[in-house]
Amino acid sequence: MSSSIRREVSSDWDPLLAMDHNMNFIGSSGFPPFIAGVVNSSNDDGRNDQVPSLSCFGLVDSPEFPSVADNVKGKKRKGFTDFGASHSRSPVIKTQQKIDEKKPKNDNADAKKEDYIHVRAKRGQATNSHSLAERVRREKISERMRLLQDLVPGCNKLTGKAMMLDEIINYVQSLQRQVEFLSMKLAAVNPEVNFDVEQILSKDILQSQDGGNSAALGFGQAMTIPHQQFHGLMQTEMGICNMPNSGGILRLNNSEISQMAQIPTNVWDQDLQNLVPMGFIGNPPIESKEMNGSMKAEL
Amino acid sequence: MHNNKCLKENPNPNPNQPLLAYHFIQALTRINLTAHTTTSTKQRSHIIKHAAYVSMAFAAGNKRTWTHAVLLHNRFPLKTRFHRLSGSRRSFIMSLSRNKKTHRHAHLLRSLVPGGHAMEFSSLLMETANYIQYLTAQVRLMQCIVEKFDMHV
Repeated sequence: MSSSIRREVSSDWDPLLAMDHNMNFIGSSGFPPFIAGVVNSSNDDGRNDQVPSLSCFGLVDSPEFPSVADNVKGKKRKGFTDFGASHSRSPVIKTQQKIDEKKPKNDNADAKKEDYIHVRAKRGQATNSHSLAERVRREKISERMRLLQDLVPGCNKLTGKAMMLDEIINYVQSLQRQVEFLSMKLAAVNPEVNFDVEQILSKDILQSQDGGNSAALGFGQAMTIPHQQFHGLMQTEMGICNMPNSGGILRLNNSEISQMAQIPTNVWDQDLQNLVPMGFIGNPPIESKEMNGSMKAEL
Repeated sequence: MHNNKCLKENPNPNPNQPLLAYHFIQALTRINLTAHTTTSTKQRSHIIKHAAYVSMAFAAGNKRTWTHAVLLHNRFPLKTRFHRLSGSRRSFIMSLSRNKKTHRHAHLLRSLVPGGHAMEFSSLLMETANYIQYLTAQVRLMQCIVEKFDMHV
């Protein structure tokens, strides 16, 4: 990706070099006037979307043509992460021909440090900083809608935000209704069937450990299931489920299960105390570090 | 993961099915052990549904807004992340969505996805994608379990 960007950029700059005499320098730092920078913070876990921060330097006194002569000469373009969508739609050739169009160049030290996403103003489009940011946002949204399109079945034919959103909302609602229905089924089934199957499954999972964790869980440790039976049960369970990566799952080995089991399960005590109104859970609620993490993240 | 937007790949990894199964089955066994026959079927179904969501959020990990919302909602009912924000912050976030002229779709989606009110639209879409992945995995898991019970009965 970076190589393609470099190609585009290098082909872009040749005609601009020719008009070197037209350019003036903008300030001492050489910042071009139009950069829509969206700070791509590394701790963006989707919780807080990036606030588009517009760094437009020297708008008042900027001359018509940005100076790129300085930036051309052999500067590294590490910070130049581009929005692929904007480039795919308008080939760079178009912007090349428009010589008098302002093109945001972004080759400064800050770009390397702060990891901005830089957008190119396309031909015939407003280069207002606000509309650039708007365009960035719109492209982000449409990119994510495309992702969602792949997830939701039957969305391929639909185009247009409204219809797709309708479909997505319907899908989420139907999934939630399915969960509710299945939980009703499970609730009806559970008291009739003896609990051995579930207990067997859970104890098999516990059994795979060294026994240190299982003691802490407070289950009745009377049942001990031999190892082979455990493997068979887990395999049939996973086999029935037809999981997407079923090839790897059907042969659950010890390492995977011990990994799973080592996740602190004491957390469930606290959660399930809310779920089950009776205080039969004997373990003292221990704050695992995962829960601490989630609580701290809220602050 | 922060480079994924540039790479334009699907940033969501597939949900970890064994982990889902593990947590859900454990929750179910605990429910079976503790909740005796005095609870009605409706109560049990409600508890199981709640356990399904909590185990789903647990398996999804800490990195998602909706998991936080689900788990917090589990601990403190009716105090979603949005509600726990102070008044000025809340109005600020609401004004953000209002300024962009949100249509009813966005509002609907926010009400569907847990924790949806406290996010902007583009991150809401990301969360929805992740949520859908885990929801489908959870539904598949529950169907397997129900099938298994049907077989044994």
